[in-house]
Amino acid sequence: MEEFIHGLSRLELLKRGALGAAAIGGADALLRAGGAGAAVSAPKPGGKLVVGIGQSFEDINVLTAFGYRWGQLMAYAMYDTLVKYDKNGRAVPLLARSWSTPNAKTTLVKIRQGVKFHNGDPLRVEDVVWSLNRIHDPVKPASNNFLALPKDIWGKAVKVDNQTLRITTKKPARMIESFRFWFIMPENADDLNLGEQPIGTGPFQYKNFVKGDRLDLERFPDYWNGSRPYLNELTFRFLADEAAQVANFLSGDVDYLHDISVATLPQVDGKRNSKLIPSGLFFQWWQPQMYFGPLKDVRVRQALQWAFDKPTDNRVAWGGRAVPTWNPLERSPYSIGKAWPGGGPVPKYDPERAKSMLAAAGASNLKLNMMILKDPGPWTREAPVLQQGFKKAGINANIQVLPAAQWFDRLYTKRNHEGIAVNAGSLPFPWALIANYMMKATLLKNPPKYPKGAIPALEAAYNTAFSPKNEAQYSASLKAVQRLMLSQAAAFHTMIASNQNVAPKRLMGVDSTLIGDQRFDGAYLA
Amino acid sequence: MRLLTPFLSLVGVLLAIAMITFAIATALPGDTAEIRVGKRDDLTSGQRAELVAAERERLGLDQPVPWQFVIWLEKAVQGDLGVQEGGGSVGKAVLERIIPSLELAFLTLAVSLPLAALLALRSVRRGKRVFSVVAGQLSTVGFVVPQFWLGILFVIFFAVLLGWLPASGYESFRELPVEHVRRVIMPLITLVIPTTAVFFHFMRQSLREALGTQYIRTARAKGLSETAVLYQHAFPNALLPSLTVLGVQFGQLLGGVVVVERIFNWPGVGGLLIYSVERQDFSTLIACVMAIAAAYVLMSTLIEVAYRMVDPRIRRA
Amino acid sequence: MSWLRHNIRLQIGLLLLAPFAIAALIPGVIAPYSPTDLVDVPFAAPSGDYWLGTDELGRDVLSRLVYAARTDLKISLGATLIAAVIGVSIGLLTGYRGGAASAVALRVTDVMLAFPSILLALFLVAVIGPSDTIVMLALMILYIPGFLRFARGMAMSLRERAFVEASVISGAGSRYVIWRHLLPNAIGPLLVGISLTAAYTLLAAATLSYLGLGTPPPAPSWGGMLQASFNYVFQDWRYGIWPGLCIVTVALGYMLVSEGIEVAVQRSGSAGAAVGSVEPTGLSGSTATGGQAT
Repeated sequence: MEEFIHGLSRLELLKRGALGAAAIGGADALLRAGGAGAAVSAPKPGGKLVVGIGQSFEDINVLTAFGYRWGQLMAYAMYDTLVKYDKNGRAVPLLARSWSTPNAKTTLVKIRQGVKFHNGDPLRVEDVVWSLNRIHDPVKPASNNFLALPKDIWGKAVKVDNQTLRITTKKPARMIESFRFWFIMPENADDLNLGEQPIGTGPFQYKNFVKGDRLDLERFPDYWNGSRPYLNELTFRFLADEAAQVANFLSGDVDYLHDISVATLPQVDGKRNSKLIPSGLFFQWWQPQMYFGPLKDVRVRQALQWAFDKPTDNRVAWGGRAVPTWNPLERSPYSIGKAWPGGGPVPKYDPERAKSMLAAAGASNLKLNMMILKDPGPWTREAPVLQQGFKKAGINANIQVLPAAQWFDRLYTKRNHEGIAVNAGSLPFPWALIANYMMKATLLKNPPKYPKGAIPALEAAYNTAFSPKNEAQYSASLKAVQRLMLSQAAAFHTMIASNQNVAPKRLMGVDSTLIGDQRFDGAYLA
Repeated sequence: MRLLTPFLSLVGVLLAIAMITFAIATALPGDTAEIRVGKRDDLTSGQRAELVAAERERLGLDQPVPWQFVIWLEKAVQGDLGVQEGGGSVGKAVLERIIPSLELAFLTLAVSLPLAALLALRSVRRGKRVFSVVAGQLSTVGFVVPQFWLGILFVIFFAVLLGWLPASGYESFRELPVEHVRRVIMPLITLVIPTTAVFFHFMRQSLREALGTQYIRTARAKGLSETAVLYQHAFPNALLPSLTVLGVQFGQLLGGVVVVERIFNWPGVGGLLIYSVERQDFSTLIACVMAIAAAYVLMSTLIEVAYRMVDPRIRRA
Repeated sequence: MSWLRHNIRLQIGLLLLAPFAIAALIPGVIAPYSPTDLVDVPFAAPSGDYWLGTDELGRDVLSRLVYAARTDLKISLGATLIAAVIGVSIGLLTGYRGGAASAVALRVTDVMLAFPSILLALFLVAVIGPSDTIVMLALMILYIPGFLRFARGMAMSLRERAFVEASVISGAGSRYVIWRHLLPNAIGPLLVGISLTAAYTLLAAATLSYLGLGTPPPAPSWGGMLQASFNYVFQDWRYGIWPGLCIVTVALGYMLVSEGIEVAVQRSGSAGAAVGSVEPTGLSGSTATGGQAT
């Protein structure tokens, strides 16, 4: 089977969009090429790196705590996955030595030999089999189970022999790209206490964990990959405050800031002999409540498309560093000015037009609720700016701040958020989730009134997109979904910005994936 | 017997707090069971509802609230405070975290009390009126500056600009005592400043009142020196009322270190509290509240016992 | 205005508070711009148009400070006054009546004082969502015990006094006694306690804003502005000084007023002034009113 979109399966697209979810995108001009640069010297062993991350952890159990971007950073240090992705989106063997797909529902994987866990036990096929099944356990979900295959697709993993395992699925599915997220643990890891003593096969092993402060790791001397890792010590400091990130960096308590915000970047850029390593693309959009409330009417949503003050937003909230797009569904993010598949002119900020469209829909003086997350992020600056922009269109917006758990609950679990809610992720686009969101309307008792035939058409397109017969069919169904979503105004105002990491100039070899994750196994201090 | 009653009321107070916390926690929005089950797009809503019901049953959330409380109490008394999401024991987690908080609280008291006492004693001496006024106003200023501002200013000054101290973090005293001390200095000073201010004002007032009593006038008439009057007579009498302030301040410190812990990444119980509220980790939340409340109530009970032992007037009552 | 004369503390205190009170009452008149409008580029330098420059989004700092005055003063005074009314009424009543109610009230205040202050705010915000009212509610509950204990203690000691006994003998009901005898004597120390508590609530509200539990954006509050300034301190260090100064000045004003009232009460020699150890004296009022929470 061939790779469809730059090595990305549609199934993976299903999972994109949850905050911090990892996904790979195509080549991207926002990323300046060669972040880490060509090595100026051969890797030198030794040294310590202190990485500052924007979330605090009370728990380091890979099964429960490492669902989102910061956690995955630490997981990659202690655990290995079956494959990883290089800069061109090609799968690179890690714990999986090779793989093949004899038929559409089966994948065979050969496991690398000679790999050891941190406690000295050898990696066996049983460990991999157990890990994969555990990640897909419907009863005891792992924290990153939204990166697992859906239950109606995943079958099971079984051992074939001491080197091989077989994964079978209920429906045809490509899963090679999902391998990137499935961390391999020892068999029956539920009985070990991975929160107290993490045991993986990764380049760094557990040394010390001070809850709420930091995770200390040290080099795993028996790592399977040659002389890697080079660094002797790797520490992750939890700095949930942007101010703390800056202060700790400037004082020298932290060497590397991961995924630093637009606001704090000017304060550290160039300071302390540092450089910027771009990685991944951060993508933020606003999701409307289409089932009830004032945005139930598609005309109101279409009017809203003209009320987002993108230029001011980019200038003020994103420091001019973001690329505003209108089309969240293109495979490439650069759809500014490109043909608007929805038909008609490409929306831009035109408050008068929005006002008249709202009046035509009988929704003048619209009251809008804007839901954002309490955690620091671009939305804290963007929301007040957009709110001002809405005012000029006669829209009365109020900002509601929710802790992450509640945000997730309202947006995904109960789907009862009112107004528009901010959502974000990494590339590629979570169009599938948005489409999913639209489709679920059919499961409601009183689904909103879509144009005749809209939902069945959307469902059909959606299903085809996820199990296409070939590339052509996939492209066509993708376009169909896109068109529908745009005409239904199912998502608003997208901003795309490059993730930036601040690193010491002499740090080389950081493996920055295009999804914004980093691996430090090849990092060294020149 | 007189000394026993405070301990009885301690239990009563703790029980009351447990009940209130339980009641409020159950009012938290966001069903814990729903959150644990997660999105599960792969299931139909019917299947998912089944899963949520099962999880709710597993967590014991389907029982009526008072019954849940009784179950919790029964387990807690035996030492089982539940299990965290990651698998660790709640009791252990809270114990680990309350010790650094207690350390800050006790250290703060250990520094503030003598400091305040010295300043107060000097302020009430004859001829030290200017000192008294200056000290008084300075301490008021030290009190009105928000603690979080003070903390950040220290970080900027001592860590970033001067580079003398680390900006944040925690090292175990047993393993790296020097590093531990380097990291406790700034949080300590941030807490000491307002605490000393409060103690200073109170002690100064108590001393003034004590100095105005008949008892002191007699001592002076007997010809005792100013110093003797102050240290041997006024001060011990002023100490007793200070005990009550101590209790309240200790409570404030325990609850109030939250901000300081956050700025300096000090792994205290405040951070765990906030974390458990946001993650809706019921068991940890209750355990944290009880730990803080227990520490405070124990402290005030001990103070009350000390009061009764020392003050002959009350003992008779 | 005899109570004002020769009372330098009271004078300075009121002087410090006055501009903020005016700002809180008529913000629209004083503030040159709306607090939420983006008027210029972020971090514009102070100029004739923007006396204190602009903030991280380009809003006028001065206007935001003025509107924040309304929010912060409303919260601090509101919480304090309501806590005082509730606490004092219950305290006077149970203290005067004595008996079981009095003992129960004392135990209840024990529980309330033992409850971690921050938790209450966290809970309320989690249940209802961040807002001014929530902060006010949480702070109110925090300071009721202090007022209750103070009033209770005052009632308990005053009820033994001759003039009260005389009143009771001549047939006065408890409400009459409380209203006519206890309250007037308590007013002095009570006012001291109120202004002191107002300082505490202001600081506590600022701290809650810092933790993200206060007014939701974009409405300004001093604590929120101070917190935001930390994220940019190495870019524009002057930004944080203004909201911080406002907090300090108003809190200082409250404290000076409280000290001033105390001096005035002592000079007047009322019965309330002579009541013993529950009397708040400057910061030592923390015994009665609970200290600086968080």
